[in-house]
Amino acid sequence: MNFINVENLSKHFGQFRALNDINFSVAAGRSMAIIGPNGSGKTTLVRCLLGLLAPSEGTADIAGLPYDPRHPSRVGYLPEERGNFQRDTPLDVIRLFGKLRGLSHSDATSQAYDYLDEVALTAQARVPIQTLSNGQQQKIHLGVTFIGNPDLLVLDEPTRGFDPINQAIFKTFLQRQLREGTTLILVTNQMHEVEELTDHVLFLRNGDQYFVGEVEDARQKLGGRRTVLTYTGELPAKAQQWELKALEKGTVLMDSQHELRSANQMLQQLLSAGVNVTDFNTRLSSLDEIFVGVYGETGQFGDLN
Amino acid sequence: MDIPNRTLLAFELKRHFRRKSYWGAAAIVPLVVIVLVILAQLGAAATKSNGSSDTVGVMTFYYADPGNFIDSKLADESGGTRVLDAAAAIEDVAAGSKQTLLVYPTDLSSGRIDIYENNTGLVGDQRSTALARQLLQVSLVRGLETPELTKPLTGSIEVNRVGYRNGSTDPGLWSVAPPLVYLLLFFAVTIFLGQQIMSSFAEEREQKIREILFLDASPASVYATKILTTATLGLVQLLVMSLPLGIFYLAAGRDLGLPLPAIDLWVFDASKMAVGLVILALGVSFMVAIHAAIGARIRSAREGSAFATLFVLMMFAPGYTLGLLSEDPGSPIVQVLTFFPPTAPSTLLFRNAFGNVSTAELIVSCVILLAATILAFVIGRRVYSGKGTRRGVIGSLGK
Repeated sequence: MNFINVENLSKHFGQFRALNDINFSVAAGRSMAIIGPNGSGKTTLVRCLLGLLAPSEGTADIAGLPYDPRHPSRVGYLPEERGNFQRDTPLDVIRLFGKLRGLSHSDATSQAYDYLDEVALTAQARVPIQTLSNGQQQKIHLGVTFIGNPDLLVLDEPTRGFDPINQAIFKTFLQRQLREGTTLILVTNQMHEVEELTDHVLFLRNGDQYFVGEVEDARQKLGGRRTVLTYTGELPAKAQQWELKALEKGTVLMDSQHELRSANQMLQQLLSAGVNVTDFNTRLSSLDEIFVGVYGETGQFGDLN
Repeated sequence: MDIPNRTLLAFELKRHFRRKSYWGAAAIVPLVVIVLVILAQLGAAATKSNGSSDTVGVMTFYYADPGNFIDSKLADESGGTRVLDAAAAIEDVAAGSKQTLLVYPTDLSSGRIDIYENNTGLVGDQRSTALARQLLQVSLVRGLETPELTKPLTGSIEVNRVGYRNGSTDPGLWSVAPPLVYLLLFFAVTIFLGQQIMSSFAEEREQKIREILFLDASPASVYATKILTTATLGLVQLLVMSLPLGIFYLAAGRDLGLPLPAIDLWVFDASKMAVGLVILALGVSFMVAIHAAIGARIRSAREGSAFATLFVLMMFAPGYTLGLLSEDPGSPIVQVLTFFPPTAPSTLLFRNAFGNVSTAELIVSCVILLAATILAFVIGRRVYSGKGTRRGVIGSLGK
């Protein structure tokens, strides 16, 4: 049985349809990224999954049950808009959420101290959070999310506003959780995070499900092959047939879903024409390139062939 | 009814009880009130005319007494100097060479005392008014040939009132005082707790922690917990503030001339006290539910202050119709105030104290109040849970 199951899920607010017939599942211990531009329905989908919003149609289950605070699975959630109990201490706040997730007072205290020690905030354990810097407060957000070793982590734009140090801390903790079998839902537009941390991806477009599948499948089907050629001298006129895109002086890109055979043909013809090719490589599109390709540089959507 | 979340309840209570500002606020209020009351009473006593005294205050003044009513020895002891030419003396006051001049009439039955003062501000020196009256009164008393007339003539003779109602004695104000304590408590709780409740809910929204909180504790549970927490905190603070005030009132009330301080004369009617307690409980519950519902909706504490002010005004509205409440409870205004939930608690507490609310009126009004409380709680909980956000609260009620 899949750990997360979303079937025919739709959500509308009056006349406005925020989500339309979303279907996906995530096995226990796996990870999925939800991708889309602003307003595509990512946060709404997450809120429906976590029971913070009731779906208008369809279902969203975690371990076979709709989520509510009495659910047997523990969830760590880092929302896009996040805050803290400003006048309370890091220890009290992290411990509170540990206890709310079922830890005993002593376990919650112990885990809170372990975390604060690991992020070098032991000295600030008992000072009001409002006296901490932004970076330190971000660490508290993470502590609240990770305490209690949740079975599922749902992170919405987790590194927004994080400095590089906190980004590194975040990745360390997250990778540790993933190694321990935690399931992950990651809402992000940072494609490098998707490639580093997830194995499945869901593209949303205006509330519709554009693509769902493994990251490699997305790169194949949404991006295709990209051939980069570096050369000296001039390209012959017939090079226009390959619709090459100039990346910088002396480097061109052969885009779209061409076959490897086309790239080889192009190389042979350029060499025959006397072009001095200094580098030639072909690879699958990166997710950044796919994102631009799917949603367009101007924010307009391309078609899925 | 949602069970409050015990972990959250303990967290909320502990975080507030640990704050110095919480206890500081509770301690400073009675201190300030006591000091202000003492100052006010001392100030009033300094200018108060006391007819039973045979002495007069001392200050420098001049006086004209064409009718020869004033005891010259008394005037002299009080710092006064007699003048024979009132007109010239008035000119001296205008010029500033004399500070205060009292001019007594020749005919006490129709005349008045004229006081002339130089440079004593907008309302003048209140001491000279008191002195003028006292000097005349004591001079006349000293001149009486029948000393036993002193008390009735100076207004210091005791008056005892015995009222009857339905064949039995009616204790009057002394029976009204005890149930009116509930009214005072109701006003104190409303003013004190109302804003705190709204601020408590707004704080979460401002600090953007509501969403993660709802994952580990249901919105309804959090809502109930916050109401219970804030009510507990507020009542503890109220108790800490009230105890010293109550002790001060009982210990020093008589000496300071505070109203109805003789608690030994209070008459406690068991049924009125029981009914009053029920009304107080319902009123406080309604007030808490309304403020919590407003708090669930507002985005900041400032946004809620307008609602809080409106609500407090409605709570106090019956006080402006006191005459009608006591003498004409059947009037349309009083009837509206009795059954309209925001005004009902204070109206019922008044009328219960006056003893003019019927059982039928009481039951109907309490039922309406209870229904309004439950409705406010349900709406507030739904708004807090965010379930009706886009469709509006009314649209979400049927879901």
